[in-house]
Formats: sequence, C-alpha cells, structure tokens
Amino acid sequence: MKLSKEEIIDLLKQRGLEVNDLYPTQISVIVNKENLINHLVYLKSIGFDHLSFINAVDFIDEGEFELVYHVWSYTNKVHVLNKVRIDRNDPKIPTIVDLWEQAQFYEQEVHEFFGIVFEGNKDLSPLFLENWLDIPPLRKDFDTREFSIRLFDAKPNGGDR
Amino acid sequence: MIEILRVFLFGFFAIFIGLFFMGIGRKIIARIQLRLGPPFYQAFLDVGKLFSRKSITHNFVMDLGMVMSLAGLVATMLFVPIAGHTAIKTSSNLIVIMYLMAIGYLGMAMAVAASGNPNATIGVSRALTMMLGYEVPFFTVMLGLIIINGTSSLELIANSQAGSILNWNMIKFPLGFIAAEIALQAMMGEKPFDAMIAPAEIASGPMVELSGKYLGLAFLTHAVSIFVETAIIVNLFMGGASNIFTFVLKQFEIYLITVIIEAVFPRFKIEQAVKFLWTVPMSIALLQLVLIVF
Amino acid sequence: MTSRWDVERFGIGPMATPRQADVLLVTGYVSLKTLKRIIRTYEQMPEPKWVLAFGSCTVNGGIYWDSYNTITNLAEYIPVDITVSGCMPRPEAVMDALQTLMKMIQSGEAGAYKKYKENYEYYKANQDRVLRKTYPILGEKLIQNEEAATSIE
Repeated sequence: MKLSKEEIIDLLKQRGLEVNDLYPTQISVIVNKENLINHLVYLKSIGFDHLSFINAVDFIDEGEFELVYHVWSYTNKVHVLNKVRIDRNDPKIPTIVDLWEQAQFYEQEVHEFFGIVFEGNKDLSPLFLENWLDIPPLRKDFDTREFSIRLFDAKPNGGDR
Repeated sequence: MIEILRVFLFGFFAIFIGLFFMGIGRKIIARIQLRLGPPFYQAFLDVGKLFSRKSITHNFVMDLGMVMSLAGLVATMLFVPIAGHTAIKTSSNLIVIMYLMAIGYLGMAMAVAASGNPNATIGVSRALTMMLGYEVPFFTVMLGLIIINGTSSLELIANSQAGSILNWNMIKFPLGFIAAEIALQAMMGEKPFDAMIAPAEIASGPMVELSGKYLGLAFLTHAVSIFVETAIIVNLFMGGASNIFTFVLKQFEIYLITVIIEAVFPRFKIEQAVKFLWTVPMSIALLQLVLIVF
Repeated sequence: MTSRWDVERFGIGPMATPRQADVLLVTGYVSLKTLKRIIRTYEQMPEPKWVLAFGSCTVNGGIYWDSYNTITNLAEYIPVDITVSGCMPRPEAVMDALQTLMKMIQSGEAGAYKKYKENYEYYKANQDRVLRKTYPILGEKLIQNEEAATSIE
C-alpha cells in the first residue's frame, strides 16, 4: 500500500505530532523522548523499513542535544527526519537496536563522538577513536584547536607566524 | 668434472634466458597498455638489487624451502633437451620432467607455510589447487603424443617432427596445441589464472613474507620455470630446433603468446579457474586424444 | 601511478607488502589510527628503507592542522627522507621526488633509517606521547564515558 507524502503528514498529525514539510520527498517530525520508540514502531508499520542514519546536533546554548533518526521508505518514497531533543547534562535515550539492527553502529558512533548513552545497547565500545581520554570530540565545548596545539605541537599557518 | 660444469652452464643459461624473457615481457605489456615500460634489462637490475638487500628469515624451513624450489626447477631443467643438448640423458624424460616439476611448487609451499603468514598460506593453497586444474588437461595432451610416437622421450618426439613446418605437432594436432597452450598459461601463473598471486587481494600470495634474497630466489625460480615450460612446449609441438638460437626464438614466440594474453585479461577466481580448466581445455584435449587413438 | 605517467619506466613499481618495499610513500594526512599502521609497516620493511612524505598534510598538517585526530608533522614519528609539498602535488612532482631520492641514495645523503636506529628513544617517545595517552589533554573527562567503559568490561 503506497501512501503519498500528504497522507503521511495527515496520519502523523492525527497522532498529535508537529510535522514540517521540507522538500518534495522529505518531512521532519518533532518527537519527544518518551514517545520515540512508539513513533518509530508506527512508522515501520506503515512502510518505513529503512533506517538510513542516526546523527546528533549539539545545541550548547540551549543545553540540549538533538538526535535525528533518518528513516526512508522504499514503497512510499518519503524520507522522514525524526528529531528528538534530550537534556545535555543527562544525555540518555532508549536504544532502537531491536527495531533496526544496523542502528548498532550508528549508536556506537554517536556515543563515541557525543557521549550520548543509549540505554539497553550492550556494546557501546569505540569504533573510530583509539585510546581516547578527553571529552567526546564533536561536542561544541571541545576545543579541537587547543587540543591539536597541545598534543601535536601544531602551529597556525604551518609555523609561519 | 666436465659433467658438473655442464650442469652449471645449463642452469645459468636457463636463468639468463628466463630473466631476459621476463624483462621483455614487462616491456611488451607496457606497450600494450600504451606505456613506455621499463628497460628490457630491468629484471637483471631487480634481481641484483634484491640480492644486495637485507633479508628477513623466519626459520630454517623457510630457507630450505626456497632453495628447494629453485633446485627442483633447475633439476627439471637438466632433463629438458635444448636444441639436441641435454644435461642428463634418459630414455623417457617427459615423465621425469612432469614428476620433478611438482618439487619446485612443493618447495615454495613449504617455505611460505613456514613463514606463518595467512595470506601466503591462502596463496599456496590456491597454487596447488591450480596445479590440480592444469595438470589434467596437460597430461591428457601429452598422453596423446606419447601414444602416437610410441615413446616418452622428448628428443624422439622433437626429432619426429623434423623437416618441413607441416610436420610440426602444432599443425598436425592443433586441438592438442590449444589445450596445452591454455594449460601453459595456468602453469606460468599468468593473468587469467593468477589467483595465487593476486596482489590486490591476498598481497601477492606466496611472496608476501619474502624479502631481499628470498624474493630474489623466487624471481630466479620463476625465470627457470618460464624457461622449462616454454622449452617443453617447443619440444612437444614445434619440433625442437637444430641450434640454440632458433630454439630460444621459438621459446620466445610461445612466451609472447602468454604475455599478450596476460596483458589484456582480468583474473579468474580460483574455483572458476579450475572449473574452466577442467571443462574447456580438458574437453579439447580429450577430443584430440580420441582423434589420435581412433 | 597511471599509465599516462608510467613510473615503471624508471623501474619503480608498487609492491603489495612491506617486506618487498624499498620506499614508503605516505600520501596525505595521517590520523592517529593510520600512524599506528604506518609505524608498524615501516618497522616491517627490511633495510635499507626510505620514506617519501607526500603533500602538505604530512609536513605541517595542511588544512587539517587543527584537527583533533591528525598529526601535524610526520617527521617527528618516523624519519622522512624527502618531502613533496603541495596540496595535491602533481604526479610529476612525485616522479621528480623519486628521481631525486635515487640520486640522494647514490650520493649517500639518504640514510634516514640509520637515524631511526640511533635516535630510537626520541621517535619512540613522540609515538608514545600521541598513541598511548595516559591523561586527558584538555583536563576533565566525561563521567558517562567511564561508566560505559567499566560496564563493557
């Protein structure tokens, strides 16, 4: 059963969610943390069978992380961005590995670079960084330039001050 | 004393011609790919450089295996008639040659298995599987020639084709020649059948742990194997030769065919290669055998 | 190197394993993870061996100079014989560097691998400083990270 973009927007609005129409094949939905799993299960049941990616955005001034779950449907041809805001000081969110297995790697990566804990995910070991002891490097309060200068003795303009 | 000198002379001659062929082969491949290519003496420079480098050995078996593989092929070479000259004369040298040729590969297998690198082990298992693939059609072709000549002596088979070019087995038994030529491609480990080397896949296979002198020895082994394998084909199908110059020229023609096929083909997977060798050249060889017997 | 530039005419060819190689070409930026592998590869090569550092990134970090995960100067970690600057250098530059390296080898100038043996402590200390960090560089460590690490163990 193929649903058009407008039908999907209607369905989601009926569930009381805030939906934005972004592009011809792309919509974004704002979900809260408690509803997330329910919402994703519902999306999967109406044909959104592919989780493309999970990424995180650091809103340091608002004290929040925004997690974006990219979900694509091969039958409806619609790309849905599910945005969840979580508290920056207590970054925890339930895992969705049971829903989509590939989420394992995305969650590991987000955990590695932002320090967000996915509750229920058994393996959050680092994927890319080796022997990392500082705060996660893609957080906005991590000063990458200072880090490079201290560890690698980096010089601006190639040392040509 | 003279006998020993003769043996040494044959060995050096084979190595020299083999390296010379390798250098020219690289140049020809480069020209086919619209490149300039290295100078023809590059193979000699490479071997010289490799023998001057520090080399890493893992254990005694590795040293022994490398020497064994070169020695096995040089020993094979001593039974191959070169324009009427043979280092060691026997009455049925074709069978001895095929028997001894396996020793070279077994030595290589021993050396690389001792080196303990998994890529090398994969490479050598592929090389031995490939051996299983090409020996069956090649032996079938040889069986046909042995039946028709009533002898397994390479000299006698070569002499039976003397006279005009129409007497050559290549013209008389074209199907057998084609089957043997495909088997030869696999025997030399050239392009469609180079699954055992596969640099991008298993990091040059058996050679992965060989450095310096060991790689130099592997180069020399390859040079001698080129010489031996082309010499067998020249004796079986092109009637040998009356002098050494013509013989080497005929060998070079055979090598040229191999190199040209090598330059334009991609690689078979090992199971595809064995399947191909056991179907296409094998059925051609069987057809030739049937034509000879009946 | 493609067939248009054809380095094989100088007798240079790619080798699939460090055991057979004479020259190690480090092309482009070096992340910490790569550095570990580069050092391992370099130490596997039999002597004599040479290193060609390719591009600005290996000299001073290039455009990645302030990244948290790329080293800025390769020569601090392994001895470099010759560098090619530029981002990206042209293929001709690489060929010229290899020719220059050949001349340097003949005149005996290129012997950085000897320096590696003589000053092994210096190089080893530099390698350990970036690869085996024992304390956070910018102080304070995230608490959840620690918890997760202990729960895995």
